[in-house]
Amino acid sequence: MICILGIETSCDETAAAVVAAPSRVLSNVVHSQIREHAPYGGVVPEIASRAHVERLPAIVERARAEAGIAWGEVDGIAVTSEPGLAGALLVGVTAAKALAMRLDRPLIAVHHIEAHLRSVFLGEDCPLDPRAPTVALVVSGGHTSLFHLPGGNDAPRLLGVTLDDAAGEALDKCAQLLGLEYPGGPAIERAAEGGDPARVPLPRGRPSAGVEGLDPAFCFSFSGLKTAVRYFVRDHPEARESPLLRDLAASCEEAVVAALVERVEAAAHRLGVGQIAAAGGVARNRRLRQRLAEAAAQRGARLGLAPPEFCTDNAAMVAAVAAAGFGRTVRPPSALEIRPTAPLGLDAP
Amino acid sequence: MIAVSIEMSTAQASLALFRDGALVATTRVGETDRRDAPVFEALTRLLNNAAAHPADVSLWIAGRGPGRYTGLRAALTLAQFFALPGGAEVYALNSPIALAAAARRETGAPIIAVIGDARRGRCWVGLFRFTSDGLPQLEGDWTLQIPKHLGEVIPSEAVCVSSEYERLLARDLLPPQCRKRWIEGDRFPESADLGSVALARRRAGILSEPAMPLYLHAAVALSADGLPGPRSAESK
Repeated sequence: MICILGIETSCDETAAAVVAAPSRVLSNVVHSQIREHAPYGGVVPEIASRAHVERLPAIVERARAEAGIAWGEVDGIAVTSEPGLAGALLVGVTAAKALAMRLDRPLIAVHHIEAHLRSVFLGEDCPLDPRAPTVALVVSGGHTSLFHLPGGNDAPRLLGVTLDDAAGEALDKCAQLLGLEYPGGPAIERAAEGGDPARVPLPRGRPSAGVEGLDPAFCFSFSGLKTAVRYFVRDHPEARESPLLRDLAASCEEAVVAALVERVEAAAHRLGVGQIAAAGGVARNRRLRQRLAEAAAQRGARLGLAPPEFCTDNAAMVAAVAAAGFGRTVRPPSALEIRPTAPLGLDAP
Repeated sequence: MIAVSIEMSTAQASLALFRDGALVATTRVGETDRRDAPVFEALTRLLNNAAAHPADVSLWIAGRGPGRYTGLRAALTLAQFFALPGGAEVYALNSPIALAAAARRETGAPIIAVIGDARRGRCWVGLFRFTSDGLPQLEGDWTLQIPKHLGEVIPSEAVCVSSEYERLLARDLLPPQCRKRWIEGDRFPESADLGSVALARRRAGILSEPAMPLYLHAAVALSADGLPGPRSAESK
């Protein structure tokens, strides 16, 4: 049994996990810093770094203990080294380097988005065939990207990306405008229960220009949504009260979900793939999961949604990348550098 | 017993290796701004020269600042994670204590005041007295002071030292009444002094300080309600 210890500190989750190759999760420990950042309505990088330093040693030790393995049974150390908040990434990378050098084990650098992508294959009942082509959406508070996974060992290819706000970031901002708590995604989902998603027409972000090399049809834009909600609330002061709040929250959620699902459907159709997948924190959203299920059923495609416990940032997905033979082994471990801004899949053929 | 001391609170970061309590070697760490590779390279060099492996180190000593955030985090994370697999000991202590030991050696003063720029119009001050064995001890707690009031908290017999002397001078943060009692120029805490003090404190039965950075600067700008201002927040 090959056991990989994974470490994830790219943003505001401090996490460690042990995965047995290729994808059996032996432990998965996550500390969310939401409470620390909630008073500010977003992640404060300095506070995130401080919290990682404070908590990471105990979390790594707990992950090892819960996996039921001795330190000598750890076969490799995987760590998120890109992209993310610089100070936060550095804590995890320093820890991983020290462990790799101390244990004389390989150090595997993992791209955070690739880890989210591979998380769709975690879980006992994953319906996806890793060898088959897949259109995969990674959607969270920090990222909104659409990928083509050719299958097998081929690298993911970026199809589309958000041109401004990430989907989760847009939900955070809308929630703030509606007087809801942070994080905004779950708050809007709760507030939207029983609401009419067609009550308030909101933009669904159809950018006319994409990033160079990307098709605008697969790209996203959510900044207009936030502006539209701001004006609606200004013109309808009662919008922050029920029942209009319920309808407005449902309309916000629908605008984001529809924008995401439309691109996934378009990409699956264009590429002719038989598998659709979604991962990342926003992929926990029930409406998004339901709409993707409908889209997959309509195409007769297999649907792989990351299990909810692996949607938000976690280290199991990081370890799983390395356990499946992906990631970049760095020799010597001391040579690994963080890359706070590093795209995934842009250079692929 | 091999002990490694890591001091990275200033731009002059260094590592020291002790064997059975005696200093064997020290090495400088290159620029670490947002990078930790130089400290690993320096550590590899230090251990190789001593024909040692990280697993041979039974005590990791780390300076916890105050000072450069990246350096403090790297030093403490490195010490804790090298120590974790084999259950080696981590001993953390404030970095100015090393500066106080060096200043005492140089001047013989009964009290050493270590001062730093806490930004936003404040200086932090630590006053160190010495035991009969010459071991520096922080008197009371760290204080944050407006520079013009520094003279009120520093006893007349104290000698002042700082790793930011030139910066304080350039920003007119050194009150005239204090200047004559300063060791002039920037002085940096050294890993050899940090390690020697840590080993002596351990022998004296003094416990490690918490293995957490000592932050004497506000994380982000404080607003009227004491919370960081919204412009400092970065939406995830």
